[in-house]
Amino acid sequence: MLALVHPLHAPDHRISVERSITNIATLSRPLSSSSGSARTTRTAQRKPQLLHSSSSAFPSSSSHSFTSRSSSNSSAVAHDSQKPRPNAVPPPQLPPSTSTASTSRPPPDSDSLAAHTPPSPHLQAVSSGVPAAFDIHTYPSSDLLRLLASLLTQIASTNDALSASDPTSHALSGLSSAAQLEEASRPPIWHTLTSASRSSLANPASALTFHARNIPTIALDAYLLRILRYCPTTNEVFLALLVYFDRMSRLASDATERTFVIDSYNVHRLVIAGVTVASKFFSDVFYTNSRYAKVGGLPQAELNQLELQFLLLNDFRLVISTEEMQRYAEQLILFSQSQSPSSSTPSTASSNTTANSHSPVLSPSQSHAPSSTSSSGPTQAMGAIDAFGGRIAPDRTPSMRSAHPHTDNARWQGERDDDADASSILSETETEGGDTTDDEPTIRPPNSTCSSSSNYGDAGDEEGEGEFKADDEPEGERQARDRGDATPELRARRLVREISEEDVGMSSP
Amino acid sequence: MNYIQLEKLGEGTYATVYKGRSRTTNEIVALKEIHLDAEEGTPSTAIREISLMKELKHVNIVRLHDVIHTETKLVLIFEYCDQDLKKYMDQHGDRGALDPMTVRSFMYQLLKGTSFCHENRVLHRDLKPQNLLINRKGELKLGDFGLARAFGVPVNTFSNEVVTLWYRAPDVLLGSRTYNTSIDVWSCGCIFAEMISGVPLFRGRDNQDQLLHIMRIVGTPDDRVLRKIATESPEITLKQYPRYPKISFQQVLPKATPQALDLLERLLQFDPSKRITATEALSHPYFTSTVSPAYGPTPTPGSMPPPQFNYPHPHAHQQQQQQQQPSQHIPQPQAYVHPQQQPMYSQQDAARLQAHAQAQAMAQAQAQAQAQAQAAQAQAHAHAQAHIQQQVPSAPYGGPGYPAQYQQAPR
Repeated sequence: MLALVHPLHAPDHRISVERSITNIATLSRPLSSSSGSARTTRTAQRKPQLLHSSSSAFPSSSSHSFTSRSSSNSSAVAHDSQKPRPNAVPPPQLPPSTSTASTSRPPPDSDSLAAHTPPSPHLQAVSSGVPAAFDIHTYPSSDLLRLLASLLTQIASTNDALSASDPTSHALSGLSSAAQLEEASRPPIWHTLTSASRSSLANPASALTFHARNIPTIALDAYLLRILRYCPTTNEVFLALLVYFDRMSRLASDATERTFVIDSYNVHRLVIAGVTVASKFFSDVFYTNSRYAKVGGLPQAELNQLELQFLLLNDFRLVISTEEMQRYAEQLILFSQSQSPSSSTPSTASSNTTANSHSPVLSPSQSHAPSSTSSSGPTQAMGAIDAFGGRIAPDRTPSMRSAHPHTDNARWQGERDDDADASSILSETETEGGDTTDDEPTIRPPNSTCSSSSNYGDAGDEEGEGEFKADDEPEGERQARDRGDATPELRARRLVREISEEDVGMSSP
Repeated sequence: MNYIQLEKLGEGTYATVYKGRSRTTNEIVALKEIHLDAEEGTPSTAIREISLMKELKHVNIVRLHDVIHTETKLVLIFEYCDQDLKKYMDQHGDRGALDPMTVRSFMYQLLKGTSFCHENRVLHRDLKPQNLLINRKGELKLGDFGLARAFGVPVNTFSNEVVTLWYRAPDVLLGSRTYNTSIDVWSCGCIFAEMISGVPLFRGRDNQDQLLHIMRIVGTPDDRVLRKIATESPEITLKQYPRYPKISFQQVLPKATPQALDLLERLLQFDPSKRITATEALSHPYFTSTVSPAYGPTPTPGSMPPPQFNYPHPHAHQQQQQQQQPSQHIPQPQAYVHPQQQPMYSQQDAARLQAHAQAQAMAQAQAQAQAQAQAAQAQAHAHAQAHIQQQVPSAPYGGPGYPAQYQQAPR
């Protein structure tokens, strides 16, 4: 599970001639159909990298190609979701020789991206670092979120780099339009999906729902911590993001010719949509979509759309077993340890979190620049790996600076750290326990860009009318009183923290 | 959409349900239209219902066939069931009370479906007659998973505002948020009693009143038990409760057999840790004993279901028996002239039917075999339907005349 980067060409090896032909036949369609923006189309449809569950995506039959093309390989944080020991990497999936060759990183780093390192001694060592019974539930949430942000940021930036470095891949990969496939040529999984999911998967534009016009200015760790602050929930909800991203990627590649690529343009929207869905599914305490939208810096209508697409692209597969959750958690810890081999403490690992975070000044082109340089190797996979190796170190310095533990969550606007902190603290004290509402999302105008330092103005009138569901809790009770048959609504009470009016710089798609 | 929308069946807070017919297969289905609210987005009830029911494929759980997304709404395609248990009891019961065979059949199916949920780590959390659907084959199916949730992942945030008040377990009423599958078992017990008597067992006005209603029958647990419950669910704050002695369920439900009462007793344990599990309940003697002690003096041929039968409804079994083995039952009534001294049906029949029941059970256990089994059952059900339509009005069981000892219940 959790392959950081999808092996670039492994799927191609599995593509039958028939499907290849289909590819060519429909080559031009997605580009023309998704008229929104060529850039968008390109990014979302290129094949290379995703979160991937290697257990299903890399069956042993395909692992050969995986290995042989290991130079094009990418990293995997976790390998086999079916295995009780997540770090027990199936040997066929490991390309030891090439991994070393293709990785410019020192072993510990590539180790986090497990696929590249020889399994036995090193992985054993790393795995031993994971507490035998890592307790998801009691792990400090903010630490967990920093790890999560670090991982997702790396994935996104690597994919950014790949797309920037290999424009040709866009033309060649994932261009078949699922809509044009004959039903008969669909893979078997296709027929197990709901009609709603099929039509979503068949439409290349569905995945583009998550694609922002510009890279959001807020760093992913700050974004996640903001969500935790204003929509507090349990660690499982956040961990579920990894599982769901993985499933989306797998489903897209299994059921269609396209891949679902997490990049810097869509990762924020995937996160907020995923948190919304996971909270509503797992927890009896959740918030209205208007609150999630406001916290996520999106118009509510857009969040609703994202939520629905998230459900469809997962085919409503939201159940996660305890074991699966535990595996992902442990892989995340492994990742963090490999990130900071000298110290396995979460706080240290979190210093890397913002390694690739998009500071307000970082334009898309800038973010791509280093990776394209480093990815000039013979294959895309090299690029991916180099992107990891080459990018993280340089970026680490600024990130560490901005990821200062105390102000971390207020740091999405570099120069306004103080303001942000103050305002959020203020709002917190003022409204704690109140029934406040956040009907007004913190929205950027549709075309606003990352340079979001403006737009504080509308913050004032957002003091809430409580939209949190808990408020009208007695309804179920009352109904039940009237008739024994009324079903109580799930309601929950929780102190609602007024949402800080930070501009989170979520540019619209 | 591939379905023709027919009449409206009902309307809930977040959905409207229509009868529908497939354009391709003519199959009758239930179309549940989810209103996509601007404020709420996709309702959490719909998210849970879809994601959980998609994975719960069992004959005693309403099958979710498909989900369709149109511009403005989600439509859930469910298998069609004619009515819910509440309406069934109103229509077919004697002032709501069902005949013992039907109670046993429905109870078995209810526990079977509940057990399947629990095995798949799903809490239904809203079991009540209105959410149990009955089709024309006499199959009972759990529906409405809008309050359900998976319990595999330990998200601490369980609400105690679950389960309709009258079917809510005492530990939940006390404020527990760490409940588990036992809350569904409690609901099953309440439904069991309601099927026997025709009226809900505990009819409280509010949370506290509901608790008192329960204590007046099952008795106020002694302090030791209450403290133990509170220890296991620390979020519970105990109050002082009046000391009610336990009342025998036999007094409450004079019509019930000893075995039924014993099962009820185990289902309605105040202490959640003492409650029987749904899976255990399935092998309770109430279901497994070959001859019901309540067996009446004027039986209907075949009305006695075979031991360990799962479903369908007794009507279906009766018909099946008549259809498949007419020669062995000629003349049918004479085979049952002295039911007190004779087994309900011949050993041969019993063996055959038992084998049939086991085959059904296996079919359910093995999802792969399910389709086949259903095809086989469908045949039997087709007969059963015909039988119900033709003969139910005159069928002696279920009516007031059925087993005298049930009516009088001298215990």
